[in-house]
Amino acid sequence: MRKYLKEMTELMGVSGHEEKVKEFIKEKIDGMYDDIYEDVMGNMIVLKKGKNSSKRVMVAAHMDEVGFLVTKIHKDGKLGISMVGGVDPRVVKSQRLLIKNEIPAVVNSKPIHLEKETSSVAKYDSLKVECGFKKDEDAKKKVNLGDMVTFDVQYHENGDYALSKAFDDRAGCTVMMNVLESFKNNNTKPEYDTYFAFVVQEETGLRGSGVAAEYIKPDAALILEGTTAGDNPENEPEKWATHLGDGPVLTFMHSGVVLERKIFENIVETAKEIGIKYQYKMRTAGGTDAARLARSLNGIPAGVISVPCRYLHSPNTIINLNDYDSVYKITEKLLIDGRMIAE
Amino acid sequence: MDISEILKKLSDSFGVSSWEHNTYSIVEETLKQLDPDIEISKRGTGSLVAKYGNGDKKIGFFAHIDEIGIAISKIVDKEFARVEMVGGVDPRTLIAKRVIFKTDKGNKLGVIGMLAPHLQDKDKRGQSPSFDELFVDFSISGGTEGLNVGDIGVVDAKSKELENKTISGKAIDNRAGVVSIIKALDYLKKFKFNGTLYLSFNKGEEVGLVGAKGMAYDIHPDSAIIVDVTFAEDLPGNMETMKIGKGPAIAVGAAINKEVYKKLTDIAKNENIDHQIEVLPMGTGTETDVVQMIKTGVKTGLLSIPIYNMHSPVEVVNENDIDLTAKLLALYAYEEGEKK
Repeated sequence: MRKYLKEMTELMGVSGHEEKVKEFIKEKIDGMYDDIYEDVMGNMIVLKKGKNSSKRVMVAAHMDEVGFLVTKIHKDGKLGISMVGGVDPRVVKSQRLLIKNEIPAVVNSKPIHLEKETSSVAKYDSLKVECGFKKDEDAKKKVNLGDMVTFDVQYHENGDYALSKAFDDRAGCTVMMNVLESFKNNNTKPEYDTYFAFVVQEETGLRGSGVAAEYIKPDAALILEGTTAGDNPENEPEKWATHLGDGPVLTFMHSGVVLERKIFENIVETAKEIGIKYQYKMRTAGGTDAARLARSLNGIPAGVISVPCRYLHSPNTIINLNDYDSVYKITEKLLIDGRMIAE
Repeated sequence: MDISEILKKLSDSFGVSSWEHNTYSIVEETLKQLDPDIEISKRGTGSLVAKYGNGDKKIGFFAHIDEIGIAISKIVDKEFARVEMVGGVDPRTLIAKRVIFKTDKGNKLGVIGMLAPHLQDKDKRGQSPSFDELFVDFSISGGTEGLNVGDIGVVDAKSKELENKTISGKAIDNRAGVVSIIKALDYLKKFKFNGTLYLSFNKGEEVGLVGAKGMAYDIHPDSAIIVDVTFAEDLPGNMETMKIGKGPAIAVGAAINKEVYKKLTDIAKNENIDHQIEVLPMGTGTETDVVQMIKTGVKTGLLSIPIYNMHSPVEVVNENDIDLTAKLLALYAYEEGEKK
């Protein structure tokens, strides 16, 4: 169930640069599907035929992560970066980065001796990325404007917890990979023809999923996501969106869409049936590809199941692995029982 | 002796003020490799001093070995704790970082969390959290059990080589100085040295220049060169900015003895050692400020290695600047040793 979490979260792939992630997935799921299709945008769609081909189910997770692009090369050889997806500049200061997966770099931080006022926020216009280049010509030999920049961190797992970047949404991707593998190993099938869509560019405004849906033309969709927790001592419990360790997050609505009631109920029922702990998302901020799918084709009903994540969109995100395991379990059960089709 | 290799090892070592003993082992090992006969002792509150040579003239090289860090100030619940700074820490440099604490039962990993943008109040976005608002999440290491108020920690940041011989690490301040005085000994061994050189690796600089005072008292050298780091960032318009890769900054000002300053600049000029002049009219913010006033006074000089991002987990130094500092120090010691 937890296979590939380390490799997948360590891979570098901001929105629009998902190639490495896609290659990895493609290699690992080889031989586990009936058909594969890659579209113009870079979405990869994998078909696992069901017992019944009368309906089509789409399961989607996005391959992209938040990060940056190089948007300036300064005269002194330092780089300017701008965010891809929502990255609070406060989590970027004095971090280690990687430029296009190969050049190590660090983000500047003015010494406290020279800047005694420490409550201000160092915004992107003052962040400079140091790679050791002496001047701009030196930098331009190795770095181009538009190069991908990501946080440079390693996966760490201990007990029930895992720490890494990009659980949003490599966690969703690995759930799909593991479900595909389970179908193969156990010689089982989903009820309906199921299209696993590894989509691009969720973080830049839900750009990939609608295009993937055009190809699939699904009757219903299930979005697997990493969602925000907010369960920390600075946030009163009434404001927590989710809580680590309380199980998969079942969403009834979020930014841009109220989810199909019947699908939501089926997801809840399935969780109850298999006897796992689950929780509802208590805040409606933040969106998923379900909002895009509601506006794709003539409207696709969808459900959303998420892994709660602390410090989402930061280089050090924490998940509870039991929550993750349970997302996997509900997903597999829903597909085998054909309960995504709500009639 | 490979500067970058030792510097990386030293920067990665956990040596927050009060935990210097942890870093001394690397210094001792390196010194023994350079000279198996070198006399090493711990003195006063536990600073490490190495003695080389047996001549009349006593020369002291001072470098503080401690680094800034954090300490547990409150256990909030099973998963979270609050922290306070050890030395001058900008709370903004801790956000979304991994931190390692030393506890009775070994190392403990935590994460300084930051609420995701999705849940933030709009009116709080323009402000960075203070130490009162920062929290450490220990869920990743089994929770706060076994952790105590007063346990010391540091940002978990492995050193990394960047382009053009630059190195980034969490404790370049002042392990860069530590490496330079060790490397100076390596160079000095090529000469016939007639003085006595003391290498003093001092504790507690970051919490108020603690170790250097006792060591200067104990050694009472004829002259002392303090080696520390300085800012490579742009300074206010009325001051020269020290640059990375342009050699050591030789300080001049109230804390600096004129003879020592002249000797250092003369050597640098005569031997074509790239250097910069850093004017520090009053305090230097280094151990020089206390060493100068020990006993009947000590002739002090200050060499500073320019670094970026001081007091952050990603301090950046150029290896050549360390090497040039070491050369200048070795020549200084040699010439002083010749004095009658």
